[in-house]
Amino acid sequence: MSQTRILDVQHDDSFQKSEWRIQRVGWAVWIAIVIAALAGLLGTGPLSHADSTASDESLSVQYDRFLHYHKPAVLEVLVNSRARDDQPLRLKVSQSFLDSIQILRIEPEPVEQSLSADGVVYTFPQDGASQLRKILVHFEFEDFGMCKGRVELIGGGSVSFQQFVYP
Amino acid sequence: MESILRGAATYLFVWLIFRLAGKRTLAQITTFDAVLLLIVSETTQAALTDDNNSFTNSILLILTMLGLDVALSHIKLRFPSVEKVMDGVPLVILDSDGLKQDVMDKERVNKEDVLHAARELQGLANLEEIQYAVLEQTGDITVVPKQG
Repeated sequence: MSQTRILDVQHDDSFQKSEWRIQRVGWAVWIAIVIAALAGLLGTGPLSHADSTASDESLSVQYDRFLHYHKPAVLEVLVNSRARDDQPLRLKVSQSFLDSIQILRIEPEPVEQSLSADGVVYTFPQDGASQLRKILVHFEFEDFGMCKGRVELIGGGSVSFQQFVYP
Repeated sequence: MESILRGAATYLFVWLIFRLAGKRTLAQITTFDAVLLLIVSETTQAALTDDNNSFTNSILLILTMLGLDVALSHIKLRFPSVEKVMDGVPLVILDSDGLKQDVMDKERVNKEDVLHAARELQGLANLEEIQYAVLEQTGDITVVPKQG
């Protein structure tokens, strides 16, 4: 004959049921985070990509709305320089944006940089051949949270944009 | 300060994710589980150090995470309810009524897992020789054989 022994174990059925409920909610949040990341709400992706154009269409900026702290990113500045192909291009980047980032490199390289009251003015030579100039600013954020930027074509329009940087 | 906050946030996040993943997540150490664990630790390391490979940063991170672990073990001893939340509770998955299939389904345990533990730990051949099987907080299955 087999003897029945008492099992001394600290089980707690009501706690376990609560744990399973919380676990299911946690899994739903988990899946939601992965879907949001695929969509681009937690970094680069389709919903992250954005562009902003100046009212006079002289300037537009392509950027990612959501970025990661210290991850290299690119700001693509498109300048429609039709009316100004005899002068060098001068772009002003707002100081508040420059305070949050570290610029890794600018393509093409500016020939001159000068300080202004609320930003830095970068000067690029014009070859006169192309009407649309593309300038790539490679950078990484050194702050996290909401970051506002502004790029202005001296003698033309300006564009403002916002980026959220995850820690 | 950043190292301490980073260490504490990583500790809490890793705890949360493994609690959500369930008891059995890393208890079944297959070759793939072991590799996955290594990948998770590598990824965590990158987030922890954030290019700061200084000796001071490493020391601060170790102090923070081991310190949290020791502090929590004291709190768990004093407050059993905290231990339940942090570590979960053991679950009886086989008793005199037989296998508790609903509990096993929720914890992703099957009959083969119970038999495996019975063979490995007690040298038992079938379910009839088991009086109790318990899924422990660690994710391991322990078995109490019938006496007779």
